[in-house]
Amino acid sequence: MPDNAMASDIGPELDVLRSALEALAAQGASEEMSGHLAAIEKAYQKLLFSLDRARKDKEVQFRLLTRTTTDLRTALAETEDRVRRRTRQLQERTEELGASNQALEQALADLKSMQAQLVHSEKMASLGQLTAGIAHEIKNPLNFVINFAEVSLDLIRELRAELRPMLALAGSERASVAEELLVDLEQNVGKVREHGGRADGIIRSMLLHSRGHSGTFQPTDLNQLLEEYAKLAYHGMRAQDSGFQVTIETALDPGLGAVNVVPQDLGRALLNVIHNACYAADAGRRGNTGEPGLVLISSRKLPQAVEVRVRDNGNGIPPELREKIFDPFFTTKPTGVGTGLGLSIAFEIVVHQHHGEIRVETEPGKFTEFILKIPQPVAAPAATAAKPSAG
Amino acid sequence: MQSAIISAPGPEAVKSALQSLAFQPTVALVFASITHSPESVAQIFAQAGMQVFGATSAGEIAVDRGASTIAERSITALVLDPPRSSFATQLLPANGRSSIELGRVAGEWGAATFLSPALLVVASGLTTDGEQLVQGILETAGPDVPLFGGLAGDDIRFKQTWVFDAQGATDGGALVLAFDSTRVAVSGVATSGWTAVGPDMTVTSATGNIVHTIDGQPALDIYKEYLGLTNDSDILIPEYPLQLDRGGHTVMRAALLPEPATRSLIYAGTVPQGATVRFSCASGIEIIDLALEQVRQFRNQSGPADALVLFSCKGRHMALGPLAEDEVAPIQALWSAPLAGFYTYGEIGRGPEGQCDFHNETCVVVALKERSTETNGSGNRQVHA
Repeated sequence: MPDNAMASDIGPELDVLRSALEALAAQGASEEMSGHLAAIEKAYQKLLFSLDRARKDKEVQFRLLTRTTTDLRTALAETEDRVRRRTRQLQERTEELGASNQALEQALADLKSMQAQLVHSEKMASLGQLTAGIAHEIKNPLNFVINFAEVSLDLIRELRAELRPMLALAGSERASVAEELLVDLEQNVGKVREHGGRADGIIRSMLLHSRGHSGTFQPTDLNQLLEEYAKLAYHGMRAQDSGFQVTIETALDPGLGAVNVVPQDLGRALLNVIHNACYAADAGRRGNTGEPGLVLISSRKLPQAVEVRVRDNGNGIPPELREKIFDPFFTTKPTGVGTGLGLSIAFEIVVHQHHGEIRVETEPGKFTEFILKIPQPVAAPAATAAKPSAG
Repeated sequence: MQSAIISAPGPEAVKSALQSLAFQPTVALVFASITHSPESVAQIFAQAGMQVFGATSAGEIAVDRGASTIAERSITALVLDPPRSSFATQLLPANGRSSIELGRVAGEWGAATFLSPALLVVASGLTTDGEQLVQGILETAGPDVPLFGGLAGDDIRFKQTWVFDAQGATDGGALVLAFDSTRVAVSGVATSGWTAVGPDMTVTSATGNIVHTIDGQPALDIYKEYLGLTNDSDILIPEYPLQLDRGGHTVMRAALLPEPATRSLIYAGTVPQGATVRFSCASGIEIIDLALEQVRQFRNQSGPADALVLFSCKGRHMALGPLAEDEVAPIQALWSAPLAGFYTYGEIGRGPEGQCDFHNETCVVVALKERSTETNGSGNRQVHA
């Protein structure tokens, strides 16, 4: 120890001093000398004492410093440990918060989407009731209009037959005037009949909303249904417009199996969607895109649902119109071409009747894709697909 | 005010020294070893016409004109000649009273005796709770009263100590010497010189002046650990007192005796439970250097003195060993006034920070100075001397 080293280093010098003192005392000094010797002896004792005390104090101070150092080391280690633990806790907490924040954002998005769906459903339901009421009230007088127009056409034919002999007697000039009047009359009544018929068609569509879906769910080969209604839509379009040029392609999942749906109703919904796709593809070909019209129909099996996608390469739907496309009577087609009920009916059938989903993805100028999802519980009884009638 | 020092091995030498005095003293401050009968020592001074303020001691100190005597088993006295109306003594046997009650009575008496009293007090070194005594005096005499003193000793026998005046003696009470401070100025300082080292520690269990645990460890074990001792009996405790934090100033507490059965330590003063303490240590030379520096500062403020009284701790004496005279001689030299004192079992006085407290391990220097005559004679309302 350095403390001891100090004392022992000085030890030999002290011993020299000690022996010198003893030698002087032994010589028998004078009285004056004895006084000096006593003083030296006293100083020597003080020196020894001071050295001893200094050594002891250094030792004690060393121990206290050691203890302080140990305490500080311990405290430092504890503090570091605490900081590490706290940091870890904070990190975990931050991660938890991030996760729960994400969950909350997701929940909020889900709620908003659900709310929008509910609002939409309510609107659809009330509009459906309203339109059903109006349609029912109008249908009776309209029947009269149509029936009387038909009867009037019969009457005009009979009148012409009755008048022909008389007019032959009356001379050609008068006869031709009468004949022209009859033709005009027949044409007018024909127009009444024709437009009455058109109104009847609209009303029939409107009534589909409210009629309550009477059809029964049955296992159905959905792929076959899709192919049939694709053909139906295509031929329907060709019949109306000979310039119609659209290619329909299908990519159907062979593993789809039998799907439990109401075939007549779902078929109508599919028809409306495919019809719209064909119209959009053809309009795109003629208009902005200039590309050959193409409609792609695909089906796919999901874990607890089946999904049908109908995609066209038409003009797409502008963002501001996307929320309105399922509203009744909303249409972008020229007046007289669409009733504005097609997607509304499809929505009714897919969402309300089949408890599924219908949504749209679109990019203006590029494509529109309708996605229909029909839930299929796993435990649904497997049954052989009913063969839809060939069409 | 004239003053002189008497330092004698026994009563006969005291008597002859008194006869050779060049003036007639009125009061004697007497510090005598327990080996001399307190009453008979008191009578020597009483018969020579002096009031007596006396205590038994654990070592006697006398310094005058370059000659310093630190003796044991001797009698030392400081004799003075202040006007008899400027001072008074009161002996207060305990009679079942607690230290704080004794203190209150002492303070009350001092305040009743002079309008501006200054008090010196000595009390039993074995039965007095020094803190309580100080608190009691300050309660009744006012917090600013000049108050200095020490607890009587008995040459480290720890059996019986005495305080005495010309009228009697008690082994269980206190003795007060009051000066009219308008006539005799009393000032002083309590200095230690120890330096705190090591970490702050907390007194986790204590009763009165017995400390059971520090930082949750038995007090005796903590001491042994730091002092590097192997045997309980090796403890040389006065050299390493605890420094007790009073919130603003500190006081020293010296451990007197170990209690090996309970691993506790008995201190020469109260150590409150929950107090923050640190060990302190210093080599002898450092203690003296630091203490002398504080006394020097006090000297610069207080001015000259007619006489000096020293109350120095017995523990300090043990810690300083042969160096003790190197402390008292330079103190005396600062004033060149006669100095007498004794080694005590506890000191009372103001530290350099100014608070009056009860200490261990300190050296209390008290300077006495008679004021000029113009200011004399107004403050005495003493009716019984």
